[in-house]
Amino acid sequence: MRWHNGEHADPGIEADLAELGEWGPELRALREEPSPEFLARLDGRLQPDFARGRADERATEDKQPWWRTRLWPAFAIGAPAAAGIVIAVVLIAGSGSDTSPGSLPVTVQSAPSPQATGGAAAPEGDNALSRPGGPAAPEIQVVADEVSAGEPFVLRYTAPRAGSVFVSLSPINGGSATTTRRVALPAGTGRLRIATDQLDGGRYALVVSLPNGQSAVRANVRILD
Amino acid sequence: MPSVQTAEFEDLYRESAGAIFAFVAGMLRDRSAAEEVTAIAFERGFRARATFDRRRGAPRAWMFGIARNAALDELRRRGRVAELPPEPEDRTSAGPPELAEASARREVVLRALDKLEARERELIALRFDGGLSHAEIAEVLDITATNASTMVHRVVTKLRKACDEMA
Repeated sequence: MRWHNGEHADPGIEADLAELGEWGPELRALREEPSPEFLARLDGRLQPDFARGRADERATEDKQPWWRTRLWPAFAIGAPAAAGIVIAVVLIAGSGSDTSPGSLPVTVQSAPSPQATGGAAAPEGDNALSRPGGPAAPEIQVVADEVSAGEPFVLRYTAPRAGSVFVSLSPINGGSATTTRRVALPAGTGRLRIATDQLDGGRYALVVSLPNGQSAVRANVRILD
Repeated sequence: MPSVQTAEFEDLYRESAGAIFAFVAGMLRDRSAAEEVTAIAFERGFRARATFDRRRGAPRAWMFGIARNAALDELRRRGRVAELPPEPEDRTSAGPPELAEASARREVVLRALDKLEARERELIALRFDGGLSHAEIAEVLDITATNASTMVHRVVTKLRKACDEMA
């Protein structure tokens, strides 16, 4: 099947087409493709809306009161008490932090922040000021955007304060349904591990959002078949 | 709960424009109308992005739901569901003789599709034109994934039978 912009159909489609027997290829051939001219016109029609949307969002961010961005997060929890040990917090489905009926298994491995242990705070660069949510928001990076089937996606984070983020994984083209969950991040540095055992191979949109709605991470990731 | 920000919506648009168009074209069987309905769907989606709740499903399925409603509006506007206009570009015609058979077979499939109920054609369009998984179809139609899988299987079986009878 021909898919626009490298789209991938749900792998199960081929099985369903096979059920049509000799008619499967004919049905496949009947699929319409958008013309390049139409896509160019569509781009031109939507771009003004997108530009307005971006401008509105920037204006909204600029108007936010200082305490919104500086006192991140709204749902602060106490600093980790135990010093010098790695705390593994395993969040299981139904533990109370999940916000969806799905069960995106996210594990947080963290080391307490230097502040919590009486040490000096790590110096923050200019990145801290420019990142979404302001300097008090966590900095999160995807370690690898492609993983083998069954391997977890790993994200590295540095959180100046304890708080929570929303992690969602949405299939871009077919595959398992989206799952979103709220994850509590202790202050300090650590790793988020998103298990993929229950997910189909394919491309996913990985989004980590702050409680104020800003995205800390937006990445297209892939589970290899 | 975070809604869809502009940048995320733009990504969604780039990733799904082709599939949305194919799905709408499959429902309407009219390329020109499908282009307009696809554009309307993305405009509606963009305006509604603030109301999107990702706890209720994936952005892609949400966008297909909007496109489906826009296509159904167009069908209602036309006052018909199954009466289809002639193809602006005849995909079944074939020049060289060796393609004549393939052309005839596609005509059979088109006629068999016309025999299906509107909801059944919608399932075919979601699955084979939109490329959605059963789980995504379930989200669009607000049914369970098991139900979606069963319905797709039934309609594929029915379509095959109709093709066999018309051949």
